[in-house]
Amino acid sequence: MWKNSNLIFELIKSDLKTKYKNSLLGFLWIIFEPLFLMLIIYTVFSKFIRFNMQNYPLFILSGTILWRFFVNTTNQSLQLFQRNKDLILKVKIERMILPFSLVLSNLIMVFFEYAIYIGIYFIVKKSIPLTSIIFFPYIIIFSLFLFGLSTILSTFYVFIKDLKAGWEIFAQGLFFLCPIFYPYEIVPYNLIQFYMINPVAVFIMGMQDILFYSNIPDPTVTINSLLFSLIFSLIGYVVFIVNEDRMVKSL
Amino acid sequence: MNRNFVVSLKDVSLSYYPVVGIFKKKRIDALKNVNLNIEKNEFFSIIGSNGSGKTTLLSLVASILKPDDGRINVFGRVASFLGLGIGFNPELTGRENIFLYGAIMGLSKKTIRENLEKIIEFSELKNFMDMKIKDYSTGMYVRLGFSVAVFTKPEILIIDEVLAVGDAHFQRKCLDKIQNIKKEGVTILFVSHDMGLVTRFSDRVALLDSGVLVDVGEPDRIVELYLSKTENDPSFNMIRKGSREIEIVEIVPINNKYSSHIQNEIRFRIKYKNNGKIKKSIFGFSITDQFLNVISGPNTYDYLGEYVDLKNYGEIEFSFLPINFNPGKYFLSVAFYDLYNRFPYDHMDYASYFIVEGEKKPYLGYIKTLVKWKID
Repeated sequence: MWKNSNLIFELIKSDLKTKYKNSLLGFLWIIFEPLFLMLIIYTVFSKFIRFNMQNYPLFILSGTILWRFFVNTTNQSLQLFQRNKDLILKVKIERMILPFSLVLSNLIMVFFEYAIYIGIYFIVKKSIPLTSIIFFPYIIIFSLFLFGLSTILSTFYVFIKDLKAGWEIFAQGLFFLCPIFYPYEIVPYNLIQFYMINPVAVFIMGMQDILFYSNIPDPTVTINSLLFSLIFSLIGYVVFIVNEDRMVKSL
Repeated sequence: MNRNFVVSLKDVSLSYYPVVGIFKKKRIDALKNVNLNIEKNEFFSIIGSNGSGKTTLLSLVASILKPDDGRINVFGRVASFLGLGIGFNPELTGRENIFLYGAIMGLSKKTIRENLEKIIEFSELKNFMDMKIKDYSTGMYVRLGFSVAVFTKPEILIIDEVLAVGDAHFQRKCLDKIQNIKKEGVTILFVSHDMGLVTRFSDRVALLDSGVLVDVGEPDRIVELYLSKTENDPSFNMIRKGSREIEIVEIVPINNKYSSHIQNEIRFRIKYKNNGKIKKSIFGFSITDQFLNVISGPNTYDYLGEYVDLKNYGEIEFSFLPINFNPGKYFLSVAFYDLYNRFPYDHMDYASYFIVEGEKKPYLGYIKTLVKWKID
């Protein structure tokens, strides 16, 4: 990967440059997108359903940072190889770079959202959570998981096109199974062990600890998350290597 | 294995399995048991009709694809131009794309920066550098791509029919550049449908047919072999158009072999039938070489200022001396046109041929100009 750092850098640069270049508001969308999502959730659950929670908007934002990272990256990963067909079929590059730089370019967007969150947090609470520094190693652990997942999705999509529609529905369902607009304490005690099967929920809970509750996340959970992410990215790597030649021919 | 070989394919096979039904798959053998050795610093061309496996072969050498069977050894750094400007981002400017594409072609940022001026100069797109690529024409796109790509310093260069898009001037420039690169000791693998280019530049040529390597050898011999195959010979794909109010019934070659020793005229007799009540028409013929370049196109009106008076059944005979024609096979098209030379009564492309005998020499162009040289 290091050998290809220049290519990764250029790919990310061009991706970020084009992302908002043709829109009127440009980079402002980075601020608006998460805020709009938060505003909708807030209106529905706080005003319509009368769900009460202190600093509810901040709570929502702390969850959506990770959720948006997850859902944007996986959705973009599906057609990743299809979109970059020419790069795969007509030049010799390390193809693993594609999912890698996809995750990285979305990670950079997350940093922007993080900065916005800290800004709002400061306005609301007149302080900055000290634990928020843990955000950086934590999001990198999550990126590892995401890299594995994206590689798997992008590889399998080439063979099974149904994956796109299937994944979008799945992700929609997953949103409700993550503690984004409700705290996880709301989940009935006898169901919590099933609830925790969802890795995204676990990661979001850790993120809320760091950003919202100013807690240091449980070390065992964090180490488990790290191991889980490492194993997952390894699986992604193996899936890709095993299927690479077949995948290239099917493009 | 011989050390002089930089590319060696041994019993290489590769099949594709495109999906044709929901669960049905078809098998296409793109390459079947190909054995091939390419020497260092060779200009090696691969020819064959569409779908014969040329690009697959190049992709294998570029290690973009892996063979199902067999072994491929490649010694040296490969740069592949299977397409130019691959990965260009249309939303970015020319300059930004130089850096992006350079990175894709494996150039370091330092190398690109050092060569930036040279790249821009070579592309002749200085005034378009800050314009978005999406507003470029196809030719400009390819020019920029080539200009960046040549700065990769490969030991083996793979070129797949990418120069066809540019204009004549730039194409020449690219070919010059490729020849210079070859002088530096680079091996070149070349795919083109332009048989003129292939014969002029190649050291050796390989002919592929439906994935099978038919023959490898001297450019002239292989190109001739390719063109002599039924489906590639233009005279078997004769194009005939026109109202047939006048119909060409027979083309009789009275003499269709010319050699510079005997200086015998090429002579053809055309038999026609008048189906309509046409009284006058223009008769003409044209001579094209094997690569379908038109060399000459005489007709009765342009040459004599006269129309042909038509009978119900008649004959027209013409003869000429193909002096200075380069040795080779030439095709003859014949046609009857209306008085304004606009509408064909009967037009037959590549209807017959004649041969100029002699030893083939790589004279550039269509004819050998008689030059008086004076060299001090």
